[in-house]
Amino acid sequence: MKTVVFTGLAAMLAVSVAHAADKPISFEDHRGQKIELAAPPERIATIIRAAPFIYYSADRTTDHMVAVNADSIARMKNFVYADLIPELLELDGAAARDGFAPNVEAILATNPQLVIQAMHNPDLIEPLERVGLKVAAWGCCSEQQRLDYITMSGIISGHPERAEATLKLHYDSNAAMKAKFGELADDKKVSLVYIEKLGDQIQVVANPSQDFSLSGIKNLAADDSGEWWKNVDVEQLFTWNPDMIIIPAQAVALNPSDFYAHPLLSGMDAVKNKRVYKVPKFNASPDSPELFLSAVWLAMVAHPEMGPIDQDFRKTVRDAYVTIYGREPDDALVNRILELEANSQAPGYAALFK
Amino acid sequence: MSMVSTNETISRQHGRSATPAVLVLFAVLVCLILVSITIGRYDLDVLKVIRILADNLIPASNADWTVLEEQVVELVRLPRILAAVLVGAGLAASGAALQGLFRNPLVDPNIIGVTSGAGFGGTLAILSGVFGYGLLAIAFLFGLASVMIVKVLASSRGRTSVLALVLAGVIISAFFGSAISIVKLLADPHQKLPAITYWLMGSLASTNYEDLLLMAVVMVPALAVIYLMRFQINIISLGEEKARALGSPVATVQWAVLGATAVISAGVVACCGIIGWVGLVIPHVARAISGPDHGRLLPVSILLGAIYMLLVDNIARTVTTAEIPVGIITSLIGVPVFAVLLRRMQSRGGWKSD
Repeated sequence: MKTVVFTGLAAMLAVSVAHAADKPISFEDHRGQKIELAAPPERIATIIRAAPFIYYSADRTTDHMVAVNADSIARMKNFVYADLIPELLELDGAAARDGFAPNVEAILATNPQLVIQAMHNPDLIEPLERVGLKVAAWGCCSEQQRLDYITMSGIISGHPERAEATLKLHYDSNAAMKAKFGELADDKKVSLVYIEKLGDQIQVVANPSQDFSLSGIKNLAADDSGEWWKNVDVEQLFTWNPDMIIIPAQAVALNPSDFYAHPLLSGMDAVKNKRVYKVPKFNASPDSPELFLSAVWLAMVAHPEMGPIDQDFRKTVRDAYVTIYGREPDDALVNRILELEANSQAPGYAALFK
Repeated sequence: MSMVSTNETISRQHGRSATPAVLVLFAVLVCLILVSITIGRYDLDVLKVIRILADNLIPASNADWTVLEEQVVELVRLPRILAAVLVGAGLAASGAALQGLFRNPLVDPNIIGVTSGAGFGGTLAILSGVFGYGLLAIAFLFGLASVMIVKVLASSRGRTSVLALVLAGVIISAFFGSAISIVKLLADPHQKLPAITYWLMGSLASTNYEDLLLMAVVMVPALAVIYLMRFQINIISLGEEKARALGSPVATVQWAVLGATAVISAGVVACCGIIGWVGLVIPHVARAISGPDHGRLLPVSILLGAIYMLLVDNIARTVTTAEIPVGIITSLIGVPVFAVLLRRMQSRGGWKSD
C-alpha cells in the first residue's frame, strides 16, 4: 500500500486548504436543522460508528477527530481500514462505549466544535445540546441518507470536491449496472439469502439498503418491515433453498466453510454447488462510501454466464480506494478485500478475481 | 400402621385408577409425535414423511423424496421432537416429586435454585467461548452445586423446613440472577450477548441426536430414581413427623429426590436453556386426573409433560418464520393456567397441607 501523491502542486494544495479553512460552513442536517460554523471544525466528535472512515474520506486526516465511538474502533479492526488507514485505530474512543448513548462528560473534555450523532432517538441528542454542544444529526438508513453522510462530510471538512468525486463513482457505477441488469426478467434473476449468523437462530439480512436488482439478483428474505435483520429457522432456509448464500463482510467469524461443514445444510442447492460467498470487505459496513463496488462483485459471481462484467475488477477496486480515501491497497490487501481465501472453494472465483 | 398399609390407604382414599388415563395419554403422545413430524415451515405431506421414516426399516426401492426432505424429517424435526418429549416428561416429574416431597404446591426446580445455577453456568461458558459438551458440563455442575447449597441452607439438625427451603431457593436464585446480569454486562454485545440472551430463553431448535443421547443418559436414570421413590414420597407427603414415625428415611429420600430433580433440571438447562413453569403447572393438572398418589401421579405427569412440551415446541417452530424460544411460550401459557388453578384450589379450601 502506498500513499497516493496527487498530481496537484503542493503550493496549490496549500492554497486550497487555506481557502477551505477560511470558508464558513452551513448545511442542513437530517433533522432539517441548519448547522453553521465559522470554518471547518478542527475538533470533531462522532458517535456514529461509520463516521470515522466516512469523514476521513473527505478530510483525509484523523487529526480533527477528537473522540469517536469505541465500538467503531473495535469494528474497524476487522475492516480494510485497519490496513489501509491504520491511524483510524489510534482515535480516542471516549465518545461512547457502544450503541449511540454518548458519554457527555468525555465528549465535553475533548472540547469539540461539532458532534455527529444519530437521530433515531431524541434522547441521544438532547444531553449533548443541553451542555451547549453543536450537534449534526445523521438519520438512518435509506440509501439517500447514506449518500448524504458523504455530502455532509465533504461540507463539514471543507472539501466538498472529494465528496463529489466519491459520489460520482457511486452514481456512474450504479448507472452502468442498471443499464446492464435493470430490465432483467424476474425469472432470470439469481436468488440469494444473506446470512449473518448461523446458530440456534439463523439471522438473515431482510432489508439492506442495497439495490440487488442492479446485480440481477433477488433477496428471498427481503421484506418491507423496515427491520434490518430477521431470524428464521433452518426449515425456512430449506423452503427458500436459494441459488446463492452470501455472508456479509461484518460477520467476521462466519465463512463459507462453516456452511459446507454444517451437518444440516448439505442438501441445499447453494451448498451443493459451492455457491456460498463471503462478501468482500468493501461491504464491511452498509455505510461504506465504497459500497457501490458490491453491486458489481455480486453481478460477477451471480451471472458468470454473462462473461466478465468488469474486465479488471481488481483495478476498479484499487482506483476506487484511491479516489475515496487517497490510499492505494497493494495486491495482498486487494486479495484480502476480495476474500480470495474464504471463497476459494467457489468454482471459478479465483479466475474471476485473481 | 406400616408404610405399606399407609401407601395402600393413600391409594384407597383416592381410589381412581390411573391406568386408563395413562393408556389414553400414551396414545395421544404417540399420535402427537407422528403429527408433529409432518408440521413445520417446510411443506411435507404425511405419506411422504411415513415413507421417509419407513425407509430406515425397509429401504425403499424408489425413493421419491429429496435429500432436503429427508434432512428435514430425520435431522431437523425428529431429534427436537424426541427432546421435547424428554424435557417435558423430566420437568413435570421433577415438579410432581418436589411438590409431594415438600408438601407445597409452589415448589418446582426453579424455586430450589437449580435452574438459575445452571443458567449462570451456561452463560459463564458462553462468555468464556466454551460451547458444546463444555457448556453442558459447566451448566450441569453449577446446577447441582446450587441445589446442594439450597439444601444445606434449608436443613437444620437433619430436618428440612419447607419455608427455609423456598427462602434459600429464592436467595440462591437471586444471587445467580445477579451473576447472570454481570456476565451479560461483560459479554460482547454483538456476538456473545445475543447468544446468552437467546440461550437463556430456552430453545430446542439446535437439538441433535448427540444432545438427545446426552440428555437421555442423564435424565432417564434420574426419572427412574424418582419413580422408584414414589411410595416414599407418598409417605413424606403426609408430613415429616408422621413419615419418621413410620420409619421412612426422610433425609435420604429428600436427598435422592432432590439430587434426581437437580440432575434433570440441570440437564434440561444445559441442553436447551431455561424452560420454566412446566414443573409447576403440569403436576397440578395431572393431580386433577390421577389424584395425589405418586404411583399414579408420576406416570400421568410424565405423559402430560411430554404432550405439553411437544405442543409448545410445535407452536415455537411453526407460528413465525423464526423460532420463538420455548421458555417464552411456557411462561405465557403457564402463568395464566397456574393462576386459574390457584383460584380453583382456593375456592375448594386450598392445598391440603395448608
